[in-house]
This record gives sequence, structure tokens and C-alpha cells, in this order.
Amino acid sequence: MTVAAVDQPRERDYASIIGNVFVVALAVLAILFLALPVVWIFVGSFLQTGNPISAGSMKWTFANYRTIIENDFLIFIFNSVFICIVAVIICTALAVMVAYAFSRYRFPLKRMAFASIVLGQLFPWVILVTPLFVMFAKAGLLNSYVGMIFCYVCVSLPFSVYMLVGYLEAVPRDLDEAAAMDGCSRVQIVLQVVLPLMLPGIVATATYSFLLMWTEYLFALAFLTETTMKTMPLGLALFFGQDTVDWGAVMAASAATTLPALLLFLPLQSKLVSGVTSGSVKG
Amino acid sequence: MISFERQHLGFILAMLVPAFLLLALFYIWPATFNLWNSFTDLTLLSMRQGGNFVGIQNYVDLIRDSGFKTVIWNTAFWLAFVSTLIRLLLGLGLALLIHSEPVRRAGLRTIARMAILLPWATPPIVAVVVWRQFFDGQGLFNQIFLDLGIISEPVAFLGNQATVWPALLMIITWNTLPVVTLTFLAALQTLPKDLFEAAEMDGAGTWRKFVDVTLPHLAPTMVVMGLLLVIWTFNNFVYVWLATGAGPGTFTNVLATEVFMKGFISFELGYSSAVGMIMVAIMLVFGAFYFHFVASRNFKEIM
Amino acid sequence: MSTLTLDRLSKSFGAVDVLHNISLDITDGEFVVIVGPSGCGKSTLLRTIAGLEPITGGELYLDGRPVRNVPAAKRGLAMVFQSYALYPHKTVEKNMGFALKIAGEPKAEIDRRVLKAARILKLEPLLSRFPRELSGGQRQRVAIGRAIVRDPSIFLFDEPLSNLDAALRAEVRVELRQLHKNLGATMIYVTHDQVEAMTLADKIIVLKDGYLQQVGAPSTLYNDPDNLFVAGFVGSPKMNFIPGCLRQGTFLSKALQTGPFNVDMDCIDMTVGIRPEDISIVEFGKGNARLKVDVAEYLGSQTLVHGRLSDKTQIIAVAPGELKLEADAEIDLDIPTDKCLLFNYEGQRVRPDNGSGKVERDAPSGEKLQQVASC
Repeated sequence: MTVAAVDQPRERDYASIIGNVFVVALAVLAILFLALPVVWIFVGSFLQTGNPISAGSMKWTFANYRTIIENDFLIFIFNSVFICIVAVIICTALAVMVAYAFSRYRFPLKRMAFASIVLGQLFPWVILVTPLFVMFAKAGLLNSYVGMIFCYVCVSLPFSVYMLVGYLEAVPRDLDEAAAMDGCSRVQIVLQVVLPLMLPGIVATATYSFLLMWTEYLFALAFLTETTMKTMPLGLALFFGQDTVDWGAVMAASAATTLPALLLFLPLQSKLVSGVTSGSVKG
Repeated sequence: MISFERQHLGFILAMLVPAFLLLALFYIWPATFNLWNSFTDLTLLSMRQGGNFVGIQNYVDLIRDSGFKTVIWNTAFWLAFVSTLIRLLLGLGLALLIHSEPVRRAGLRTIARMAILLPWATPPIVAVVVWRQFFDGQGLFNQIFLDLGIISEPVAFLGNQATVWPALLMIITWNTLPVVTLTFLAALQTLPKDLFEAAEMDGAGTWRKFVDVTLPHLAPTMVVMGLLLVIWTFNNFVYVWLATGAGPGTFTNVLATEVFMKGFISFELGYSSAVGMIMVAIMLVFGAFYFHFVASRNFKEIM
Repeated sequence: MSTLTLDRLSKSFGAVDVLHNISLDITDGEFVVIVGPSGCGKSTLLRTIAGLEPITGGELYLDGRPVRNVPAAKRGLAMVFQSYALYPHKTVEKNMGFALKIAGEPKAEIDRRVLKAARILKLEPLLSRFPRELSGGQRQRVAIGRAIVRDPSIFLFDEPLSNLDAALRAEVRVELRQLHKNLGATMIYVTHDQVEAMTLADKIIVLKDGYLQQVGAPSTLYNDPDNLFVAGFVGSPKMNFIPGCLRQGTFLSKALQTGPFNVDMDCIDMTVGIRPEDISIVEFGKGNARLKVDVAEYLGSQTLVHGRLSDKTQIIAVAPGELKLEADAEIDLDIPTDKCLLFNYEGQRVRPDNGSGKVERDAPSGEKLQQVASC
């Protein structure tokens, strides 16, 4: 073996070290790109100007939070929490029923029913706004919890059904039959055997629905015009003035809206990822 | 799977009817209302007595309107095509980066996975808000570019025709890149190891292994992801509306914002409905693709 | 304890018929095994009895009462599933007591019966465990225990041993037989394994393609099969079949001549069946068929000789003890006429006493007669 041949690997080592450093540097940049805006929001929410780089602002303060609380933000929080929780419960219950029928029974028009669920996930909601506005105006549902809950149930129902069908497919049908042999009625099979087994799936689905509703803006914008009825995303937009923006208040409101979503996302992420490729989760 | 028997009908109906009744009320009734309206000249003023039937006049107006051509271009080119392409490429790159050996050895993989969750968990309105501050006259980008001497005076990135689309796409990309990346990462984790070993035995280098093993393995994920991104962005109203309000002027107007503005702000309901029906038609095409190639394959057993 | 009657029961999935006019009587306390190759409809038959599949034709009687429209939950039968189907979120005790709880039995009674069943199956130390903490064999016991606790009129087993390894399977087989003796209950058991069928059953039901092939005691099926399928399915190693023709009571083929059979018919398309254990290897030149040996498998107590007759028919013969044979060696076989079974061209058994009944259907045409004459 020649000397050059012995030296060669060492040169390749240098090349690969430089390559590795480059790859790691890229990764660090990517992490910064992903994380910076969120860090920015939380840092900004404690600064008078709401903007960490503006001159002379590096003094920590709770003033922004005080501002948004003085401007009805607690009401927005209550509205968001109330609407979303009620809607999640209704939506998940309905979705479990539909998903169970889909997963366990054959019936006429089933393919069409399933196709309509899939299309519901892909539907451009914006075109529904005007007709629903007319409908809500007639029914007195504008600026009402009932109207918003109805919207949010229907918005996340197709996703929930699709996700739950996936989870139900993982519960062996043998268990349903064993329960039937053990004397369970159809309802008992669902309540005593199937529900306990798909509980993790139900929790994941409900959490996902909650997030979908929590961050919803369009229907809230269209149907909630009274300040006392607004939800958090809508209330947040209130701090954008006509000409000036109170960035401090905006950042505090943003932080308050993001934090619950963040806390719910962490435990859920692995389940959501598997849902994405099957098309049951929206980015 | 329980075969259909008349005795099950009551139970099946009890399971399905409440949900489908709500869905019909929410989707089908308004969509039908839209369809009818799209053939009338309904406006806010004529709301009481109802609009006159005008046939396909609204659709003719649409096609003649040069503003609508811009809307279609913006939606198809910028939102559907460019933004999807960027996110697919960046998502794939980022996934490969996180999956790579040096990143793992540097102990960054877990940190990167956590960092990815941050944009995903951020509500779209909050994403728009923080990026609006970045693009603001006193914002981060102006500060950096001024300090570097790239620009001499502050630029309103979202108010300038030259920069508004790239800026808008940056917001959308930041907020939705995590889904793409995590999906690719999940696919990368199922890469068959023995295929790599076989390729290595055949003398394949890093690049060949990537082209012949990794890419074919990721291809189905890419197709599904691409289809979903196009549909989601196509339907999305929030980013454009909150970031630019379809502006400057109507420069970034897209189908979703056009429907909203015509229907909800200038109350040209007939016209707005016609635009909406075009959206529905396009969605049905995507939906058919999606149902056939993704949904009905994922759930073969229940069909 | 009860009786079960199937009256022309049929079942189809859409356009596909899986069970055709099955009529059966299962009497009290019998151990009945339904056996057949995969896809023959045996599991479907069990599931229609259980009430898990609705029947599309005919009727099902439990103690004389039609139960076609009675749902599974109300038939009072217990089933042991192939996958065991234990509730993963319940302990062994809760799994076993679940049916009683649903039936609203008082807790003390549930505990008593669960404990009794657990004692029979030696499951007492496992009562507080979850199914995921058990071995395959233990899960299988729990599944049986769950059925015992119910004290059902009929036990249904759907291939309960197929997920166990061979050694355990043999062990559980014996225990099941004992359990049946102790409980005295009616048991209906589905399997594709003819050894299980032979060892467990009082009565075997052979199914093929949704048609009932034969019903009878294991010895009847072994000694007196109704058709080629049953003859080939029951017994191991499989029965040998030699094609040929029948002329004036004598079976003729290129490789074998044997007779006389007490059958009054001539037929050009006839098959003789002979069990490997009924063939004996005799001194060269003294047999009625010559075998060219392919391979001899030594099993300890006996040797399986695989080979071909002069007309290329594959034959297996069983020889006692060890027999050393080279490949391509030629040996003589004695195929005794009284052990030979005759099957007609449809694969139906032609019995010596009822052979005349078949003559009409087989009435050879002129051309056929010539062929018979020449063969």
C-alpha cells in the first residue's frame, strides 16, 4: 500500500468534518427559524413595546397583560373556552357514533356517506359564510354561543369521524362479537367494550378538534360582532388599531392564545403526525 | 363487519342521523343557497324581495373581469403551486437534515423535533401577527437589512408589490412547514434498513442510495402531502386576509378573500356565490382525487 | 344442555354462496367437530349457529325452538374465539365474569362461579392479571374459562388451538376432551386440522366449498368415507388413489389388478383408494403391484415409503420398523382387495352392497364399453 493511499482517508476526514459542521450549522439555523417567532411572542409580551429589538425597551413588565385584561380579554378567554369545550364534547360524541357505524356495519349508500365525510374535510368554508349569516340572522343565532358551537361542531366533525374510524379499525371486531356472545346489547358493546379501548384515540381526536376550534378565525369574524361575544383570536385582532398597533398588548394576547395550544400539542404530536398522511389531520 | 339486515337499520340510523343532519344544515343547505344565488343578482338591498334570476350572467361577468384573472392567477400560481413546492422541498430538506447522522450526534435531533412543534401549535392569527411585526417598518427585517446596508430606508414588506408575495409565503411556510417535515420524518423512520444494506453491497454511494432508495420510499408521501397542501392553501382565508387584507389594493386577492369581500363587505351576493361555486367545483376535482387515491385506500376494509 | 338442529341452512355474502342447504342434528352432550380446508365455510357455519352471522335460508332450532331471528346475545351460547378475544382492559377475573355482570347476577354469585371455573382450569393465581401479561396458553385457558363461567347450553370453539405451538396443542387437546367429559356439555368445535377432529370428536362434520360432505363418528369417516374428498382428508398419511377402470367386478389399471368386487357395473373411470397402512411390502414377485421407490422416511416405529407405480401414480406405503431402501429400488406391494374402496367418476363412493344403484347413472355407452373392453 502506498503512502498516498494511507493519507487519503485523512483528507476525507477533513472533508467530512467540514461537511458535518455545515450540516449541523444548517440545523441550528433551521431551529432558530422555527423557534424564534414563538420565543419572540413570549418575550415581547413582557416588554412595554412588545418588540424585543426596539430601542430602550428591555424592561420586564406585566403592563401588557394588565392592558388586555382591562380590555375584556378575560371575557374572550371565557367565550373561547366555553364554546370550544361544549363543541368538542358534542362533536366527539357524534363522531364516535358515526365512526362506529362506519367501522362495524354495512349499509346502503355507505361509500357515498364516507365520501361526503372526506369532502367535508376539504370544503372551502369561506363560501358558507354568507349563506350561514343569512340563516343565522333569521334564526337569531348571530352573536350567540349556540351558533358558534353549531359551526365548530360541523367544522371539525368530518375530521373527527375520519380520525376515529382509523382508531376503531385498530380495535379487533372479535371483541365486539365476544361481547355480543357475553350477552351485551349493541349499546352495551359500544359503552362497555369499544369505548374504553378507543379512549386514547378519542382523547387525541377531541384534543385535535379543540385546537381546530381554538384557532378558528373566519366564522368568529363573521358571526361574532358584539365585543362581549368575541373569542380570543378575534379579540386579539382588536388590539390592532386603525393607524397604530399596540404591539405590547398584541403580543400578550398572542401569548395567551398560543400557550394552551402549545400545551395541548406536546403530548399529542406523535398521534397527529400519523394522522396527517392518512389525511385526517389538517396542518 | 356486520352485513346489512333490516334489524340493524334502526341502530345505524340512530348513529348516523344526528351528525348528518347537522352536516347537511351546515354544508349542503348553504351550498345550495349559494348555487341558486349565483344565478341571481342578489345584493344587500334586494335581500328582502330576493334577487332576480339572471342566468349565467354572474359567471360571464367573472370571465370578462380582468381582476378575476388576477385572483385566479394568485390562487393557482402563488398559493397552490409556489407555496406547495416551497414547503415540499423545504420540508423534505429539513426532514433529511433532522434525520441525518451529524445532527443526531450533535444531540440536536430532539431539540429540532421540539422546535418544529412551536410553529405548528401557533394559531394562524398569531403567526400572522408576529410576522407582521417582523415585516414592520421598525421590525426585525428592516433593522437587519438597514444594519447590513442592503436597504437605505425602511421597507413595508407587506405593502410593497415586489415583496408582498414572498413575505406572505414566508408566513404560510413558517406556520405549516412542521406538518410537512414531521410527515417526511415519519416516513424516513420507516425506511427499510436492509434495502440500504443491499444498495451498499451493490456499491451504491450516498447520492445513489438517496436517489434509488430514499426518494422512491418517500414518493407516495410526497404525492399525498402535495395534494393536501394544495387543497388546504387553496381553501385558506386567514393568512392572506390577516396579513395583507388582499392588498396592497387587490394585489394579493385570492379566491377565498374574493368570496368573502364580495359577499360580506360589498354584499354583491350573486357574484360572490358564483365565485364560491367555482371554488366548490375545483374542490370537487381535488376531492375526487383525494378520495380515490388516499381515503378509500386507507380504509379499504370498511368500504 | 340442549340439542341443535340445522334445517337446510344456507348463507350467502352478496352473490357468493358460502353454505348450501346444511341439515344437521346435534344431540345433547355431543362433542361435534366441524372440519374442512380453509374457505370451506366451517367458521361461517359456527358463526351462524352463534348468531354472529344472519342466515339467508333455512332454519336453526335450539331445543326445538327456531332461533333464526334471535340475536347472539340471547341464544345463551358461549364461544371461544381463535384470537381468544379477551377484553384487554379487563383483568382475567373481570373477563370471565363479564357475561354474568351483563346478565345482572349478584356479585357474590359472579365471584363464586368465576372461582369455580378458575379452579377447573388452574387459573386462580392469574385472576388479577391483564391479558397482555399472560402467555398464549394462559390466554387460551382464560378464553375457555370465560365460556365455562356462563354455564352455556352449547360451547362453540372457533379453531381455538391454532395459535398455540405444537406441543401445547397436543396437551390442551387432551384437557379439552377431559373438560367435555366433566362438564357433559354440548360442544361444537371448528378446525382445519383432521388430527384434532379425529382425537376430539364424537361426531365429525366434513365441509367442502359450503357443502356437507359427510357426518359421522371418526371411525366411520376413516373406514367408510362417502367420497374421495373425505377419504383423502381424513387420516395421515393420506389415502392412496389409483385411477383405472372396473370390468366385471375387477379393478384394472396399468399398474394394478385387483378384485373381485361385489359391484355389478362396468365403468371406465374408477378410482381405488387404499390407506398406506393397509399396504404391505411383500417378497419380490409375490405382490399385485410394483413400486419404484423415491424416498423412504424413517419415523422410528415405522417407515414411510414414497414411490410410484408403473403408471406413475404416487403411492405411500407404511412399513413397520426400519426399512432401508435405495432410491429407484423396486419393491412389490400387496394391495388387499378387501381394504380397497371404490370411487366413481364423480368421486362418490361405490359400495359393494349399493353398487347396483350406481349402474344406471354410469350406464356405459357403446363407445365407453369398447374402452372398458380394451383397458
